Amino acid sequence: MSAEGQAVVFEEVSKFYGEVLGVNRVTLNIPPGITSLVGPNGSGKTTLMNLMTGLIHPDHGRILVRGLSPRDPEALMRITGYATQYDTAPRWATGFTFLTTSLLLFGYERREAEEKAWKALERLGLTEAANRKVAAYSKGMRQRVRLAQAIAHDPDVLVLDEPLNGLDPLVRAETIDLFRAWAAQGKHVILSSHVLQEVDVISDQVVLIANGSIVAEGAIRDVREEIDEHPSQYLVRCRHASEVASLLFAEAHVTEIKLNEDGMGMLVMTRDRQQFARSLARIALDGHRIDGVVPADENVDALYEYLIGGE
Amino acid sequence: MVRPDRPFPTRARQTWTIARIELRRVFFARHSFWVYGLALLPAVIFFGHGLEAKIRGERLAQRGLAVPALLDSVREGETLDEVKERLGAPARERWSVRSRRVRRATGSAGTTTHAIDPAVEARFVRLNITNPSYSGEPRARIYEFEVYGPQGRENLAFGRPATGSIPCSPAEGPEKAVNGSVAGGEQDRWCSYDWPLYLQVDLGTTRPVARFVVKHASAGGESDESDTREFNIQVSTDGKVFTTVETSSGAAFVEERTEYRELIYFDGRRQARYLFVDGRVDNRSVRPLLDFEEDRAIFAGIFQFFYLRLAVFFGCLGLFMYLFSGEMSNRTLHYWFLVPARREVLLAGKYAAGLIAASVIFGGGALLALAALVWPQDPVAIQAYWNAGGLRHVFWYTTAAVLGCVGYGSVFLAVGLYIRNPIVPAAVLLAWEGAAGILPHVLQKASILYYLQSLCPVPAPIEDDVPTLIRLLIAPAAPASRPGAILGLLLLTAFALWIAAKAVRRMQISYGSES
Amino acid sequence: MAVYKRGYRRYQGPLTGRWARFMVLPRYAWRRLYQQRLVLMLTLLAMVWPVLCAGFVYLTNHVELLQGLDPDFRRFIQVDATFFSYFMYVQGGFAVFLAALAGPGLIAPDLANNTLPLYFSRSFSRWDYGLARLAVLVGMLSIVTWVPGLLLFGFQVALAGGWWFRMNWTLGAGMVAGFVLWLLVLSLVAMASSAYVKWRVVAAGVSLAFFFLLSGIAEMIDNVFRVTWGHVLDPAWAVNRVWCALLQVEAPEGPGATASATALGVMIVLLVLVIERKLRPVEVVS
Repeated sequence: MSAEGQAVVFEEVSKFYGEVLGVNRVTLNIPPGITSLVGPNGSGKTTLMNLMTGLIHPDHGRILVRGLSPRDPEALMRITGYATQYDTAPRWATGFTFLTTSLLLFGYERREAEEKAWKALERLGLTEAANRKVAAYSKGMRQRVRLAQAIAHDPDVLVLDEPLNGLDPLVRAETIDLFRAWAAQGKHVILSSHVLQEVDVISDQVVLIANGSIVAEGAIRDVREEIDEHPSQYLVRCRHASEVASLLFAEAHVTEIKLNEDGMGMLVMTRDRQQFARSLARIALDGHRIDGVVPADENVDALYEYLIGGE
Repeated sequence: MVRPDRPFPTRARQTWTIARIELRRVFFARHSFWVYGLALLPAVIFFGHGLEAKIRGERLAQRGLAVPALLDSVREGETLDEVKERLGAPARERWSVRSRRVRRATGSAGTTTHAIDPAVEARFVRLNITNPSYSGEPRARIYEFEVYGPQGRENLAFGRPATGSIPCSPAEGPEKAVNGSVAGGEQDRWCSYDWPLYLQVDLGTTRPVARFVVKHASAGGESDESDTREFNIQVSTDGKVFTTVETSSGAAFVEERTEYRELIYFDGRRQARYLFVDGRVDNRSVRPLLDFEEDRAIFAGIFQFFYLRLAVFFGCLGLFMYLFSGEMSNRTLHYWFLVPARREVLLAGKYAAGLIAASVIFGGGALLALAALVWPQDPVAIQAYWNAGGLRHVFWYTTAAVLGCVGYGSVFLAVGLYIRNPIVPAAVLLAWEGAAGILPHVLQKASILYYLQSLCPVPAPIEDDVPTLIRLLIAPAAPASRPGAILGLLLLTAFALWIAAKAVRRMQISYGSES
Repeated sequence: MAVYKRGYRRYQGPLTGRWARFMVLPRYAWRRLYQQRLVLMLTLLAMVWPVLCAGFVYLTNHVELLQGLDPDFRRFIQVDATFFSYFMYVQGGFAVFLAALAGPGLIAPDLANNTLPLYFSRSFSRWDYGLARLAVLVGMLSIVTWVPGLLLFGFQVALAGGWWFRMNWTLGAGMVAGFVLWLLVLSLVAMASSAYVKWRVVAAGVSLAFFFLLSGIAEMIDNVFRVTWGHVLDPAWAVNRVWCALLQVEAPEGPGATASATALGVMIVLLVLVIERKLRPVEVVS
């Protein structure tokens, strides 16, 4: 299948809630892999996810999920699984029947539906509680059962609204491994999150949204490189920090240097990464010992602060 | 991406799966138990009636059965002993006494006449009022005070000088009580609320007086609560020493005592009830304990006025509006939209589920009610009923209930998709259906009840004293033929489902918070 | 090692009284309700008839004004038991609609949005909560029922004099008692439907439909059984029967006042049970 057919595409999509703007002229091209939607509350993350899955319809623009339109749930929902944020479940359902009923609606025979349901429950560690009512689950368990329902039919596109919300650290780690496994199979895993450190760790792509508009889209490093207003920050560990600092300060592209209190390192802010890399290499080759160089702000935290935080 | 290993289920199978899942929820959801209650109400009531009739029949029969012909022979006015002698001991006898204190009206039209015998000589006649009114108001009102001699032709007090206690107003002085007229309204009376209350007339000379006529408040057109309650009349020759010649308590209270006795006789089928007032037959009623024909007519009335208009209406409102509107309110609707099925298939599945449930509940309710109606009746009457086409009645009643679910279900499903608040459309529809009788013919065809009434086998009985407007509202105007009614109903249903399908395609999830 | 900073000291001053605490709920509820235009309009509309009746009282007591009037009209505006019974019918009717308007918003939103734990985690018991909600409704309904009734009664006593009061004080007492009974029934029905049905609008419909449905059932029973005791199930009819007994007006045929009062008592107890069951802060699902 061509690359075009493999992406989730938004073309100039706008959605209004009465007079309030939900999302504004969003254009996105999301390739397979793990993509995180990041943004403040009310920025439009859930709106985008609902638009993607056909729960709401855009007022302008077009959406294509792997070539299928959300207006055609018959085709789209076979390959899509959506774990929403809405915490309600049917009152009569146990964990097991919740999944089985949903699978029956996909057309599976009862036996096959039960097998798949059991597999999904195993994957998320809910086998013990499978025969209790969902309404009696703890918050984390309800989160997991929603995830299980999204993955039970082995979809190609997973849309997950804050999937790690309310999970304890062990289950969190297991679930992240799950995401990685799926991404490796070429599936789309689109999730939204507030925990920026995790977004850093698990995501291949990041989409930053604020006030209904897309602020940035792409791999984290690429996004960072495109932000010129803020100088890049690097943490440099070395023996004689003050010496290295004075050498670096002579370079034109370096704007600011903060020395560590222990005298063994510094924070360098530079406008040009390539030049900085060359300067540092020169200083090292000159005989000064450099123990380590780490980018200090090539993470989503920094991106968030630069692009969204000021508003 | 279509998986070749598993064929996609046909739309029909999907509809059926959705219906199956929803059916379980609709039947057993706790919040829809009131629908069962509504549907079973007529059955329970008829069952209770049958049970009660049977028990009463057995209890009455314990004392022996009377001869049927004799029951009819009792006439009004016969005494207790005559009846008991002819018919024997009654199955039940009840006895009660009711006494009332009744106020005898003041004279006739508010005028009291007091004659004294023999006549006395008097020059001054005084009327003392000790209790001025029945209402308790301390105000005396006398319209005329007339004094007659033994010949009794001339009012000796007419125009004579009169004095009395201080009047209410200058225009209501004592002279008004001797001016010969009572028709002048309140200006034509003597009124006083001084104490003591008295009115005194000077006849001029000492003459014999034999009769007094007093005209109280009701003689002048006022309420009889203002009539004088207690007064006395005194005479004097010199204006200083007065002798009482007449006391009156106005109108006395009498104790009215009525004795009621009720005899009940039973001849195995009919119950005769005779009511004796003060020992004589005042009211007789002979009726069968169970009147099949009357019961059938009552059932027809209950079916059309309660079951179709209220039970099926509100039951379908509750069941079908919950299918989408309620799920939106409970925030579970998005699960259905995430299913790989067309929205129309979802609609069809939910409608099918609601329809099956409603048909079972209300069709079953109608059948149960009919069974409860028929069960206690006389076997001969039942057999005659079946022979005369009773089974057809049962069929048409059940069909009317089921088709009512079909029609109302589709309408409420469509309405629930457009309007979230169910009260206003329900009220509007109720009024529309109620007023269908007076709407023009074209608009009548848009009312479901119009078609359903055509299907009912027995027309509902309407009492004769119901005003014409109400009669127009509740009676079917021009009932269509049965096949025509069914066709019309199905067309209406199809239309409602069509606009429902349009709405469901456009539907979006928007969970607000409960205000 | 734990560190205790000695800076914090518990509040030692006076606590809010029990009554003031209790009245917080009604105060805010009244403020919220009377800001709704519909409620305000209905309350004002309900004052029209009492004002008219006050006019009638004035007329009856000023004899000179009665001269030119039709005698039937004069009998109609005579201030006696029938006069007060008409007053009670009209105001009782307004009370039904006011209760249906104001009632549903009391408990249903708390159950739907799960805010009961917020109340019960303070020194506020379930009975306090229930009584406070009842007070809201009773207060609102009192303003359109027995308060204008008592004012009317007082107006008549002022104009007619002490003797009228001595003869007719039972009217006033009966009117107040009758209204209080009706208010209780209405408030409990509105609260029960609000507690049972979490959806506010449907609760309004249910509290109105309650009366229509019971009236219909009473009719059905009467017709099928060919009796008159079915009317006891109809709360409107039963209350009317009790009113007739209290005011000593002629009563419609059917069950007596004690039977009606007993039926109403049973209804009240059942409604209280429904409310009590539903007012739980935590629902345990196993």
